[in-house]
Amino acid sequence: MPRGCKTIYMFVLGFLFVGWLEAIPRIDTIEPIYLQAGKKTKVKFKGNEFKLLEWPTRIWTNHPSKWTLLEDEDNTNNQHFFEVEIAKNVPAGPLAIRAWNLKGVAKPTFAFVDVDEATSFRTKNSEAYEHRFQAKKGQRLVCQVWSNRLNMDSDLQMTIFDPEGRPIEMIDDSEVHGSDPYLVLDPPADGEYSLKINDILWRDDIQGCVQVSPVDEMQPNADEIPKTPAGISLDLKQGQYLTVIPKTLELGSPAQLLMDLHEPEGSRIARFGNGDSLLQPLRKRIPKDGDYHLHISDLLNREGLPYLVDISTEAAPFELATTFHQDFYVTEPGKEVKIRFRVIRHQYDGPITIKSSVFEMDKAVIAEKRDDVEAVIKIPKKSESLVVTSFYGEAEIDGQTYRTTVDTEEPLKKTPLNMIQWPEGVSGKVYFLIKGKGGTKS
Amino acid sequence: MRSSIKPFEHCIVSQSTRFSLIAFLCLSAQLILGESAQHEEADLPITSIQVGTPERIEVSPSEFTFSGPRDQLQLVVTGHYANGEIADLTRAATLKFSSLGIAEAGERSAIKPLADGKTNVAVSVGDCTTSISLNVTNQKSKDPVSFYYEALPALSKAGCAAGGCHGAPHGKGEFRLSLWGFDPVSDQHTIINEEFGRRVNLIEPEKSLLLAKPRNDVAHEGGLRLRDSDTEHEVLVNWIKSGCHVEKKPPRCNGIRLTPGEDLTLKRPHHTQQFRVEAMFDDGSCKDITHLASYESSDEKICRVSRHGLAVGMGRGEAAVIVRYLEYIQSTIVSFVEDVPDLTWETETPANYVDELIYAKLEKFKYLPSGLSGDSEFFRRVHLDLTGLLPTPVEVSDFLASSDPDKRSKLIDELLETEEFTLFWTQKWGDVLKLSARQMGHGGVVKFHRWIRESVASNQPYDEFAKEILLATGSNLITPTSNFYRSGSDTSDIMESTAQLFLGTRIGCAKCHNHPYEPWTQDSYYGLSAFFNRIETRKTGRKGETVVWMNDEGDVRHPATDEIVEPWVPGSHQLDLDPELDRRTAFVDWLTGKENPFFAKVEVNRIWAQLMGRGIVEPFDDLRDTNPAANQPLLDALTEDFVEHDFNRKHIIRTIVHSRTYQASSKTNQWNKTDYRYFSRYYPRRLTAEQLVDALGDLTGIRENFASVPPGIRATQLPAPDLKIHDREKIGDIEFLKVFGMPERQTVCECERGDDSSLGQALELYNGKTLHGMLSDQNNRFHLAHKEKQPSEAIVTDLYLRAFSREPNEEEKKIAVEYFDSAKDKGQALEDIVWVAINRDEFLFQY
Repeated sequence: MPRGCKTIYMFVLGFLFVGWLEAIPRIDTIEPIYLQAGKKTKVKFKGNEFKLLEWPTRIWTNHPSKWTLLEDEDNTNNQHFFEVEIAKNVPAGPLAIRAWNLKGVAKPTFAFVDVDEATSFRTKNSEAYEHRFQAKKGQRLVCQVWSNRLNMDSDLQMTIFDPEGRPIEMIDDSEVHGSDPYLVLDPPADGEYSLKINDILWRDDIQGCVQVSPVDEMQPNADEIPKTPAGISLDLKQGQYLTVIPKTLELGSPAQLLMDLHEPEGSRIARFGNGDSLLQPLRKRIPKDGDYHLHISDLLNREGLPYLVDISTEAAPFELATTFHQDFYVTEPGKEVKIRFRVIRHQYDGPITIKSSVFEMDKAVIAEKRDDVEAVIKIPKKSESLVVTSFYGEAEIDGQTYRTTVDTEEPLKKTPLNMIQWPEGVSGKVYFLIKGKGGTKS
Repeated sequence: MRSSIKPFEHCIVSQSTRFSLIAFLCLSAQLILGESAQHEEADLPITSIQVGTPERIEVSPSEFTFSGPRDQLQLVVTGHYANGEIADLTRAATLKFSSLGIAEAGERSAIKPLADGKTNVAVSVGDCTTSISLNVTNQKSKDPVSFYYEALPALSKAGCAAGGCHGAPHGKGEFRLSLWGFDPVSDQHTIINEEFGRRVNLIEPEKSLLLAKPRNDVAHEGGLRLRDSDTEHEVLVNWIKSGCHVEKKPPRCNGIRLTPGEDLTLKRPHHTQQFRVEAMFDDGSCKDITHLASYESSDEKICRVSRHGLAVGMGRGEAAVIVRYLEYIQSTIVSFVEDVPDLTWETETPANYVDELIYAKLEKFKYLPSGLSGDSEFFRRVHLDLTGLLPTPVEVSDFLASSDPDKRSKLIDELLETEEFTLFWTQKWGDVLKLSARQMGHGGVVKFHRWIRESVASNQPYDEFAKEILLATGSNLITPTSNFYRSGSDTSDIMESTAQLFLGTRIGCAKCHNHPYEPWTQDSYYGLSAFFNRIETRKTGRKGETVVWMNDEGDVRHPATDEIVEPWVPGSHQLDLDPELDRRTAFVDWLTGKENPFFAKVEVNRIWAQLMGRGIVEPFDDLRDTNPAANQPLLDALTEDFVEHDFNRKHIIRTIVHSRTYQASSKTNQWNKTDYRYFSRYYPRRLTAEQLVDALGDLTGIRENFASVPPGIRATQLPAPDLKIHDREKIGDIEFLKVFGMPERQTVCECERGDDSSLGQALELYNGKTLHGMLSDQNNRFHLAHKEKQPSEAIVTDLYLRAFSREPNEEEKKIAVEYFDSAKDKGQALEDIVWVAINRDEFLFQY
């Protein structure tokens, strides 16, 4: 072998070896994708790097859950079997699941959790998935699919057939449930109904789960929920930072809020809600004391839509984010980790201090008028193998302390976001994988 | 490359493909029409006038005042005959002045003033005489030549300011004039000051580069455009002599008037018509500008117009004579008819008003319509037109065997209710609404396509269809019609698409300059834009989702004046706008109103074109005075019928398909061979790319499977040409479809669908991958039939029924069977026979 080729050969081998050593777990699919809260379910993970050296794979979820590796199953580097028990009080919705070892943390994968039953399925090539269910006239049922809301790249539509086999409803997207079909069904007769689900592009192997459950008739305070359009008077003081955050998605309303702030004299001084994000809050530093008027309407001029906003003068006038490309750090006890934090300021130029409830930090102040800082995180000499924590930033302005958490959207962006919003407890978390000297087990 | 053209500083636009195409079309049209304008009378087949015995003659004008030494007057002398015919006798007239030395007559009965005074002129043709009075004033005036109203028109008439010459957005040879002189201030600078003033020579005006170039005295890429003897030359020389004088406050030209202004019919031997053109000014004056106007014909095969305004008939038919003076356009339709020896007029009994109006027009021009098509011809045609697909052998046999006299009507009604009809006609709308994943995202396309499909299936009234599209707001994934607002690069683009789709007007030219062939101005363009400019879009964070919404603020500013432009609609009026309402509402109410002259017309014309292969106005989405309809009464009648039936599209389709005109044979007879415009027969046309793929699939039994659509969807039913998720994914044989002209849907113009032939097509049909794959597939229906030991005669009959909707005749059958029986490799022989059938015009064409 010529010497040049040999060098290249050794380099490639070395590269592969290092790559193998550095491998981070990856979860591609979870089967089934529906996990019943309060019950044990056998789950199969498919992915990669589940068996890595001496470090067994571990599972992290954003809600309490207990995972037990099923040792007798055919666990390989690409698939693992677990028994999982989800706490009964976990709210219905997506459960974020991440696998970790001391090389890294997998991107989040999602399953649907609910106490009510649902059925997992996968689409087959050019074929609609069919689900049958019994229904009685007079019953109100919610027929819904969870797929896109579990971050699947899917766009499903659902057709419901009556007991005679006639199509009675075809459901596609909605503003509240996105691409996942959702329908309140009033069965016209007793009998066995069926629903067929297909991807609009007839893609194969799309995971989802379908749930047919009774309508929860409890809608407390429905009359008290404000409707569009609406005007709100605000008594504000000069220098206050007004923040109005739309919470309408959480309410399950299709309203897209357009928020106009008018000064006491009547002219408009701020308009928010017409940008490129549904979740964009109104932020304005108040120029003078007075009675301000906040006009809230639907962007599409629809009237009578319920809405919810969080109006605050205590929300921090800045947004913080990390600038690293991943949301985990592999380190060792007693060492230091450098993390760059950046800020988007909203009419506030002063210093901002980054803090952690777990770690001591050095050089953690974003100086006045600066946009970022590289802070030093000190890892204690004694620590758990995995520390999941959040950072937050603080600033004192005119005697008032403002605080906000640091989000980790940037590293999470490496996971394609097919749903609009990360579920609670996913963004903002930073994972420290602390490997003890001599290969301490986690 | 024309795509890099930037018309003017204030209207720099993105160099998108769409713009390039529009610019190219604009310039091409200007070039073609502009180049055709300069006919010398000596080059035209003008025969001497046969005066005959007119009952009386009429002279226009009956009186005239010359108010300057450069004024001219063109007389138009019209003879009226006992049989009701009229003829232009201008060239045959003799002029006699009652007072000598006041004025003199030139060629073509043109009069020039000599000295102040009054005179009567006796105009005589044969035994008929009439007189006009002339008043000649101001002959000693030293008024300089008008830059605005003489020099610039002279440059336009010489062709210098045409779109294909220096009127192009970047000009030519570093010399840029505004198109047809619409920007005199810029032209003044360009001609007098640019290049250090070297274009004009004040000391020796004749040697000015401005004249030397078009005279070809020095190298000129545009060739000879001016002669010393031309009026334009004289005007330009005198203008330079005057020191290149430019009026500070010239009167405003209000428009031009053409005489004769009414549409007219000329019957051979009277095949010429002299025109006279006047310009009216806001100071009340009126000038004869016949010698400064430019002339064009909409159809040079029918009519050509000399540079002096003499229209000359070239054949039977009608054409628009288009007259331009600066940015002003007037046109009139001239019909040329003649007797055809030995023609006995006999037609099918009209089935409805379509036939009555078509036959009336054909009789006028003596094009005898072809007879009714045979059942086989009709059956294949109507299936392809309504469903896009070939009928099956069983269907063909049943239809041919049926003796029901109403079988055609019943078939039409059945086909109109099929799912295939819905999907095929949905695809036609998909083409012009630019449904493509690239523009709208995959989800957007599928949902918009579904909405159109439901609209077609339910036969949604066309006005409601347009309203839903144009007034759409909301998420493109939930309100599918809002995808329309994703189909353009900006709101101007959307407005242009709307104008072309629903008004049949290609207004894009007016973005940068007044429209060269229509009275559309920049004011019109920005007035229409003002209805759409408040449309906004926002992304929601959901993949592929965009929300369309209407802002309650924002105005359009005119690029030239920077003034706010109020919303405006054609008809020279502004709408009452409720400031609380979406501006589009007022526009859409006007658009879909039953009195709107454009809305219904463009749709019936589109339907006609889709069924008959060409529009009554062609291109079918280019309605303008200068592009006359092949049959205006028919277009009007269809429009009226459409409006009366509440914009019912299926009603119009049914009406057309039921007509004898639609059901006429595509074969010519002795009398209509030269007709290519008046629908004396059904014009054959090549199958579209999608029809061809489906036809091949049906013929061979090897169907193309397409990605991202439900199983069984055919090429003629595809929602979009680019509906695939991954590049590596197979969407079907897209290359074959592209070669045969499947559009990428980048413009609202259906002209994007290519119908021309190419070497690539020939190669595809010769031994292309698609065809070869289908033919050699051992599971194709012919190989299977052979394996099942079906008789060769039955296989050939099946082939003919599938391919041509008829059985083979004896000779065809004999040749095919003998070839098959004598072949050693029977499978190969079968493939050869099918290949031959596929390559016949009878298969490749719809006829």
